[in-house]
Amino acid sequence: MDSTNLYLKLAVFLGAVASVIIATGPGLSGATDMMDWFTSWQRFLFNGTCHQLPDRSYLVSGIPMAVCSRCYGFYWGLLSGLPLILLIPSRFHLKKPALLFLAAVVMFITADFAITMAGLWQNTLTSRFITGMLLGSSLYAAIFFNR
Amino acid sequence: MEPIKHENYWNAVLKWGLIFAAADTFLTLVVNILLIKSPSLMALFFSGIIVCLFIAFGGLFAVRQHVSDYNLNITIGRGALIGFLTACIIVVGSQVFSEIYFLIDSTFLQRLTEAQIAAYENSEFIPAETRQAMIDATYTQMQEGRSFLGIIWGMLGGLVFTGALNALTGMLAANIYKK
Repeated sequence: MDSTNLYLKLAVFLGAVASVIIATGPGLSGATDMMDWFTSWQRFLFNGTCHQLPDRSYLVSGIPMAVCSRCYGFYWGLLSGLPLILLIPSRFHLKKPALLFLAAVVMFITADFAITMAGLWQNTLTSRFITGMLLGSSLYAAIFFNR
Repeated sequence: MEPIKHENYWNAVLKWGLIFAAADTFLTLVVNILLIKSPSLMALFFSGIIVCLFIAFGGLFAVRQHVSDYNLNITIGRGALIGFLTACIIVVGSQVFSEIYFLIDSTFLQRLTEAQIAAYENSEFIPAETRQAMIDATYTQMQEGRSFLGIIWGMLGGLVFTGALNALTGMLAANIYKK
């Protein structure tokens, strides 16, 4: 394995681990007050990348996480990318299918969002988490599958 | 193995960083003006989604241009670097453009904060306790005002995950456009 790519894979994995821990929010360190959640540094860090709506986020210690369930799934997806890439034999690390799968996941999420906005379907915390996780892991594969 | 040439990437970084900074400022302003006209949580929700989805692609476009300018393959690591630097330009540029607008329209921030508070008050999705905490914190922030240090901290905070997302799209682009 190319050593630079190995370091990058590890860097993305460690970044994802840190993101998951931070994204779990102040509830992880025992905060139970909504004011603590709203003014927390975890929420501040993700402010520019997530809408952070409380009703679209999982609760920890009775308060919302720092990100919505879809973003939380995305970071878990990135985190699971390294174990997945190690499990899949390298002869299957094909770039084109990985990119096509990523495009399919993006289209699926767009459709899920549009259909929910149109009032034809109501997505749930779990469905948003799963689609986010698919996005994270397929992005990881699309970056590092290079055959 | 043929050594990989590293050409100057600043042209692509600056160009796409500034384009995305200007577009980000414009979109955010439009959404914020809509929020001021009609305070609702949906406008806040959309502003978050626009920012998240849109500015993450700056790194991808910068890498695409860099690869096509010099007709070369770049490593995934270089893609990450170009993506991260593009994010730096987006965050700083967007802040500068916004500050210029705030100078032109000096009451904008106050109206925006009041609209945010009204959006929280109007929201049926947020529990009453959460709503009150959000209103109190927003009101406190408005009273404390904006300091230079606060703006710098805001930019650094924004850069952490904007930089990470753009580094990811930069790496993706390095793989996509590999010949």
